[in-house]
Amino acid sequence: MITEALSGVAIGTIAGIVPGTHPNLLATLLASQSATLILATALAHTVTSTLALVYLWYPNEDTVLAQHPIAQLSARGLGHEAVKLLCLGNILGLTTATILTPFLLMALVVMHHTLAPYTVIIVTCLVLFFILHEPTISRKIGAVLVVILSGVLGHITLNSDITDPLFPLFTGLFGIPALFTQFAPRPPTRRQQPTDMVRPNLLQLATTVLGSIVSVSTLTLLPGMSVSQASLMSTFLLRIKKYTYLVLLGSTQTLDYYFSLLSAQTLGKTRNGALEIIGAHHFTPANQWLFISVLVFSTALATLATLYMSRHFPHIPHPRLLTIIVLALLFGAVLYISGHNGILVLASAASIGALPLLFKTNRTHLMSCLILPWLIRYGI
Amino acid sequence: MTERFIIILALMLSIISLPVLYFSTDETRGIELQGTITPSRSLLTVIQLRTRHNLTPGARITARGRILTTPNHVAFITDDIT
Repeated sequence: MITEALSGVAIGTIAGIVPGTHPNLLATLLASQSATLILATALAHTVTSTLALVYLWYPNEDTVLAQHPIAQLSARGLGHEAVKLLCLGNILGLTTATILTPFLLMALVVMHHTLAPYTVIIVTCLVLFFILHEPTISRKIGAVLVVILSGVLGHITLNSDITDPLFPLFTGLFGIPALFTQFAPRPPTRRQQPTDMVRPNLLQLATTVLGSIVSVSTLTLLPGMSVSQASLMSTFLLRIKKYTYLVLLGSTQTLDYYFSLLSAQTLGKTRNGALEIIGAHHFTPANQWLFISVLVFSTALATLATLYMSRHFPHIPHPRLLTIIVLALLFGAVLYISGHNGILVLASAASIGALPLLFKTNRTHLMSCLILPWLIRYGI
Repeated sequence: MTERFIIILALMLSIISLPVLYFSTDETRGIELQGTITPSRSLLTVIQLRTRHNLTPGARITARGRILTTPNHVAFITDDIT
């Protein structure tokens, strides 16, 4: 068990700093391995991908909203502060939830039975809320367009016979547009110095972590809702300030796995790609603490590795060359896993994924690729 | 201070979780096959795996198709087979 957990942490840590990779891709490649290895890999990747986000500027669907505060810190040469805040959130959220496990297990079951009859209404309201949350009329119209187009693509893709349809879909919607932003002209990057300047106070931290637990546990029960949407909800409800937002985002990232684990165990539903690949039936009350320990162990080790690497992160001399290599790898992976039809989905998804950048809207609207097919299936 | 706090917390958590990992076994690898194969889908899976990988009866197989050949050659699978 320890060997598998350590191997998972090593694989996830290395893959996490490679831009454009996603825990679900690793889980797909490791599908024949044990659940411990897959979970440890996914968690380590989630934690260390912070480095790609801060120093190489590659967000995924979970971290798209973090671009703004990270850009502000990086512009002042404080990228290490952003890494620390994200790591603090990663570890603090998971620790608090682990301590509260018996209570959260009961709360999840109660909430599931309470919300289940109204799921369609709640999901529809949330989609409308995220559209109306856009600040201007033109962005609201852009958001509607993104919701419809990504939803239609999701509906077509998920009802096709493509192998592992989510992989080309998500890579196209989130990965490829993020990689292409590397080709846009950017201001010269400032040299990053390890400092200890940003210190959130205890009350802010407690509010943020508890807020993330409430939002992730609620959105875990709603189909198609992502980590970034949970963060957006918490930010709106708790009026979280810009740097504490990074703690919130870090916390929601690890809590996504934690609550998916509890959901698989109690409700038989996985809400996370890696856990879906392992299979919900593997998570039982008997091995509950074993898998929570895997989450805690891999998060803790990956946090230590991330902090160390952040202090020694090398300057990338040719970031665009790295982008081209990653693009070629992703293209090859889609062709290998999903075939020629997967490439078609990838191209369509990448075109739609570029729209939020064009309209300057929130990229979380792209999650409609899962929400709309679900609403068509269960709501109509 | 923040960084030191994170490091101390991470070290504590990794040490606390070590005994649980050390003394546990990952049951997703499967349980020993006892009795008869009842669901037709599971039987089909086993037959397909045997055909594809040229397995002899008694080879170890997990629910997700991983082959675990051991000196004992005991059939292993999770809850697909009862």
